[in-house]
Amino acid sequence: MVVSYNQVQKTYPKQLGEQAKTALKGISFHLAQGETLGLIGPNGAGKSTTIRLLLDFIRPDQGKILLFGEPPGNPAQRRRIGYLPEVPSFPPNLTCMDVMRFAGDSCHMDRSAMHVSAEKWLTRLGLWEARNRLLRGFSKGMKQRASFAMALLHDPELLILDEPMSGLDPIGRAEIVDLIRELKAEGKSVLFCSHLLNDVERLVDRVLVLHEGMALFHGSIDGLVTVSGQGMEDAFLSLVKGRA
Amino acid sequence: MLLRVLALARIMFLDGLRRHALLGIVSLAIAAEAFGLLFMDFFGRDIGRASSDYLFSVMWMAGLLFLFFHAVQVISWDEERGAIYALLSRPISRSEYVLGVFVGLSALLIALLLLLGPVAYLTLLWIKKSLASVYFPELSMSHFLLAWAGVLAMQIVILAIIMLFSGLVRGGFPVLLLSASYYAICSGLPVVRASTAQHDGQGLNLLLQLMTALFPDFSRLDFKDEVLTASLSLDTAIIFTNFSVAILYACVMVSLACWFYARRDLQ
Repeated sequence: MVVSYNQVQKTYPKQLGEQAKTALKGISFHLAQGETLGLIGPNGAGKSTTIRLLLDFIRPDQGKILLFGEPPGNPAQRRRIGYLPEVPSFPPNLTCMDVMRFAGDSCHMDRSAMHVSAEKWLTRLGLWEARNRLLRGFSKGMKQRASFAMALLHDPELLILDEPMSGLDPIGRAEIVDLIRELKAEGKSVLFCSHLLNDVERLVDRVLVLHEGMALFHGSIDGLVTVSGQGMEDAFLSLVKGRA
Repeated sequence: MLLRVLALARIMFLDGLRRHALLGIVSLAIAAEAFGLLFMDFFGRDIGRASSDYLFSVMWMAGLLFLFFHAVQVISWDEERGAIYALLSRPISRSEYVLGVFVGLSALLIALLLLLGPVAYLTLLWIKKSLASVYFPELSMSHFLLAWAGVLAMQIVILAIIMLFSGLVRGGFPVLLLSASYYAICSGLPVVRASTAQHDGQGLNLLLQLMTALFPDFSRLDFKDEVLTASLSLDTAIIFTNFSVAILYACVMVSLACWFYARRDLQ
């Protein structure tokens, strides 16, 4: 199993002027090798928390998370992961190539392999010409694509994509959907969350519907649609509204 | 580990190097050092000492501006802008991240002082050559280097403290407040110790002495008075000890920063 969540609970501690907030309430799911799992849910459902726990940005209060069979605290595991954050952001005075070099060095890639891979992905994502421009001048869509290139540079086994299509125009979105399909066909495991249900429907093998920190549904898209007897969007809305 | 720390240090260095505000600090500091050539005209005697003090003050202030307007914000910027997620999604531990930021900022600080040091020395040399030797009798290059290294060591210690506060609290402003308070205490403590030493309060003196372990006395690394002397007034063993203690102190503070940061949630 690539990813396994077992009864995971996470509460964000009380802050000044804010109440403590339980973001996940006993979530369990798994992701097998070569599988694509879509995390869907309204804002505040716990999708980003699920991803951040997996990358050890935050730690669970209860339950067990396994990543490649180990708890996610070991940074070496992240050599096998490519992560695309929800808001792509880098130190602003770097160029695309600076970021690629950092990504390659952090994974101990040799310089020539890094250059070949950087050229491949930056060309594919339409950023090769802009590789020596400072990132502070990039649009949101360009930053998103740069972030994608950084995630793919070291040929990871698992891709964790947090809203991969946000900030992209329709052409860019179609390109990213095609790219995710190709990566899936290559046998990569993909975990991604998105608000765009059409994209989720086109890409995933299974779906996990989250709402207020709870898992409302975990299974295939066909299963989700069969449960409600409607299309995916209607099935999602009826699940969430049924809990509201 | 070293490769990963250096990879991170490299991007911190490049990011700082291309920041317009830092380029502004460097330009301002060089202009202020060049102003030293006019500054000496305001003094009728002790021109060498006044000029040396002025030039070292410019280097010190430029370093402090770098520390309090750039270094205090680096980690909180990464957190607020979300860049930390892109960086830590690589196989880099939190401790390596703190070390990488520290090494990158130290490199920037060294680059800043490497730029200002020769300008200051050449300015002093120019002033010395333009005056009769009675007004500016001595200028020692090795002692100048010692004083320069003292400024660097003091600022590296402050940077290590900034890393510790950045690991402990969120946000650039709280880190700035804590770091500025720390610096104020470090500067004030020797004065308090000197004034209480004349009284009989042994307990208070001991407390103040213990506090020096937390808030080091930076004047121990201030060698700018030596620049104008032919021979050192301090024993080299004492100088070596002072530098060693400063390096050890910085290492302990950075280790603590790594320890705290590794245990924090990145919310």
